[in-house]
Amino acid sequence: MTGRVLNNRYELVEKIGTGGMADVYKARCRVLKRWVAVKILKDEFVNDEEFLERFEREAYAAGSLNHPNIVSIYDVGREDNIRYIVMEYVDGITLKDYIRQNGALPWDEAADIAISILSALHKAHRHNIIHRDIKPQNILLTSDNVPKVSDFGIARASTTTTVTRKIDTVGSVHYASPEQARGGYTDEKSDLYSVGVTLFEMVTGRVPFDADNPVTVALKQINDDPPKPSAYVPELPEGIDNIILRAMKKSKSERYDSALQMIAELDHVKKGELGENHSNNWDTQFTTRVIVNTEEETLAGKKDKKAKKRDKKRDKNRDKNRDKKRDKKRDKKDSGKPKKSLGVAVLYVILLGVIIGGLWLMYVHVIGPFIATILEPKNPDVELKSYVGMTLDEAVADLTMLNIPYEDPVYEFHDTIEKGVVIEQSPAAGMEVKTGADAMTKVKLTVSNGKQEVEIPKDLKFADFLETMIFLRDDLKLKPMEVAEYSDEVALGRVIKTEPEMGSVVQVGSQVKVYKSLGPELEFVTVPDLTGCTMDEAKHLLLSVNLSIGRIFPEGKDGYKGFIINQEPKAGDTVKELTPVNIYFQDEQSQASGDGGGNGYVSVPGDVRITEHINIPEGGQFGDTIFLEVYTLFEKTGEEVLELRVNLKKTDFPKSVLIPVTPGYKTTMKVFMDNKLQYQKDIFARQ
Amino acid sequence: MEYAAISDKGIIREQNEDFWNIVLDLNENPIAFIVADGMGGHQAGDVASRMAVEIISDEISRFIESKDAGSSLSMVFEKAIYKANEEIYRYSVVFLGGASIGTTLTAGIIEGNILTIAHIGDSRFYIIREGKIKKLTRDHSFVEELVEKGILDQEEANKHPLRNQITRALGYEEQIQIDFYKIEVKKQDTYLFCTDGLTMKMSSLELLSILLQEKTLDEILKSMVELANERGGDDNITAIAVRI
Repeated sequence: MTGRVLNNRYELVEKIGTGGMADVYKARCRVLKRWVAVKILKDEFVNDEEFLERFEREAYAAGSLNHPNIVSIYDVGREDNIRYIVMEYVDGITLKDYIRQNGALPWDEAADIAISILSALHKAHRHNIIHRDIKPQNILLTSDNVPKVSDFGIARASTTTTVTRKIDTVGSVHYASPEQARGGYTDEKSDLYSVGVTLFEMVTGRVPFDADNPVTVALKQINDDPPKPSAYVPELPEGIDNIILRAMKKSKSERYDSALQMIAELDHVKKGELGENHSNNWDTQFTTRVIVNTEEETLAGKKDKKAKKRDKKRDKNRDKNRDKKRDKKRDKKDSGKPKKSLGVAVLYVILLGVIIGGLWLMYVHVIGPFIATILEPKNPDVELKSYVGMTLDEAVADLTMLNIPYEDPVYEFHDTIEKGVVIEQSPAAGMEVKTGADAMTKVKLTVSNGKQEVEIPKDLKFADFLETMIFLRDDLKLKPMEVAEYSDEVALGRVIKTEPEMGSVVQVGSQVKVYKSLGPELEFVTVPDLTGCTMDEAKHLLLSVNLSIGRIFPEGKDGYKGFIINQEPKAGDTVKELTPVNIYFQDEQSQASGDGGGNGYVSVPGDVRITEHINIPEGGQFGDTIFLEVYTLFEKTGEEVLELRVNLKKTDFPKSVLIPVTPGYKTTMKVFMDNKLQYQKDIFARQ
Repeated sequence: MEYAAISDKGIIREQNEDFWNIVLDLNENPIAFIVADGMGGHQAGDVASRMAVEIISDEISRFIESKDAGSSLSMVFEKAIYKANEEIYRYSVVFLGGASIGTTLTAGIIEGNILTIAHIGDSRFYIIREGKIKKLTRDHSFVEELVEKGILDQEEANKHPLRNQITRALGYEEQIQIDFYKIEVKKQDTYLFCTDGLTMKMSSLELLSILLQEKTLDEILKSMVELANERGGDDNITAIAVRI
């Protein structure tokens, strides 16, 4: 399969995994110039129509899930008998391997991973998608340690197949809920059970139920109480023990009601255990978290790894030293979107207004008249002066002195007038107003709040370029400018960086350069010489200079053995990166026949090499090792060249050797074994 | 002795990955019966089942022809199965890049008045004697083992998502554990060797009622396959019936 290009778009580069249902390849998408993972259904399923239909339907459903902790699905396709799903390529390892490498994880790290998995499940469950096969093998950790859940829906599709299979000995049964082991009705809570098992394995380094055969494991899932995780890891907080055991309850009704509830409990334990602010009611924490999550979903620019890493770090920080200050800080950081901070500000203003207004009313209606009756001076009418241009303090001082009532000032952003300076007043200057208790109106002052400032969100890198432009223009009221640039790191059509940089606070209306990725810059490279290479060598050579594998001739074969005899474009040509290079293998039909002696004709294009098989001559007396030398004598030039000198075991024969030939001329191959000429063979290459 | 065999790819599958054979002795009497249901994919799905049937048949035929005095038919039979396991396993390692194919095997050999049954996977052997049917073999499948433990009943087992997952397969691993059963051959007995394409579609009582009909074994097997196909026909169906 490697080397094949599906639908002229996905170039399969390397097999990176295999499972019960499918093989997974790392592939290059020629259209978007990015790495993708292509999951190819094993061929035992390709005739199972009912299953295929289900498989595609589930894949499309899962494709609608957009979440930082879910492996994105890009495409579902088929070519000939090949059915495949194109997914986000995650450069990382499975959680299973991570546990294998590291053993039991620190419980707070495990809790973080579980929270990520649960947050993915929360999203899926809201869309009525149940995973049904949550296990560490299906959780990928990116190189930034962001957990991503893959294979949504596949498990369900697989239940329709009639294909007989050997059961996995280390597979899903270890993570299957009792109802799944029974083949009963599964729902969201079945996923939560599997998360419980996965969390168990993370904190202890082992699965709760193990046996040498899957049936016994299933029986344990159905009948046995799981051991307490703290039995293996005594320092484990009791809270984690309890969460795992509750998630793993045999009866669904005793488990958590939802992924969110389990997240809340994990959060709660983390806060409690890490000596944080106990006075915080966990309910409010929980609410905060949910809001943060939804924001991440809508804002995270969909596939922003770096941002997620930051999020994760931030979460960690937050959890480690949570106090109110930090909380506030975080809220500020989070407020890349003005709506929320504006909301808070408005709330404060209203609150303040209510208080001051209340005081004012009290003054006007109770205290004012009271003082007025006592003092009884006649309040004189005053001609209102212009306060515009004064600072608020000056204006208020003057108004107070004159005993003119005034309203709470209204603040407005202003491009030119300095912050704190009055922009407008009402009534206008020159109007006569009554003062003190006789006052009919209050003076309204509008004060400049200076230029409006917004923060360019920090997580725009990797975000979709168009969405970012619209967001900056409409939500932040900035003037985004497009700058296109090549990038090896950022995929085509996504944001590389901004100027001023992300996280800067800028004034509304100011210009922001947004760098859009054109994908990797394609440079000109020299085509390597592939003749004489095996498929694997050629693949390696091409990829090392960033060229693509083109069509392979003769076409329609499964595996390509032997050596390459020609290529297109030719070695030494200069082409753009990613150019496909077609490869020609020796056509077996036209290969020279005959083993010892005799003349063979081959039809080959250009100056090429052909494969010859060296055999031990019949009746030859040799030891276990044979010293083999192969020389070629070129008729055209008369020169004799040593092609091969090697010690070989008898079992290494027949040995393939590449013989360079020039069409139209004779080449003689001489085979020496243990320093004795065994036979020679004339090779003619036709033009 | 009357015998008949049938193999049908069903109405959904494009390919028949089931293989069967009946080996005759020098007098043209049947002495060995083999059914095998292969697994391993479009290109190799029939490799293991075909190899198993061929290797075992060859070994038995060779023994019959050579009449090796130092051995018995049942010993040869057992050795042949181990050999088939080894060769299929080696084939998949060499040609398919790792263990990936395998097959179920339910085979019987008659020596004197003893029928020896060898069994791996979820194909089945039934004995019908005195109007009763008995499944002699125990499926090496995930669900069957749960049925035995009383966790599932047969109906639940047939609907279980993992119903097609077998716990043993010939040629899938280097080491294989074979179940052997021996029964005395009695007059009027009927034996049925079949793959799960049949038994997933009908209960043993249904099989019995068809087998008891006054028809030739050929007709009986045909009507069984027809019924399985009416009920979905989503798997290959193979059966051998023998009436003593």
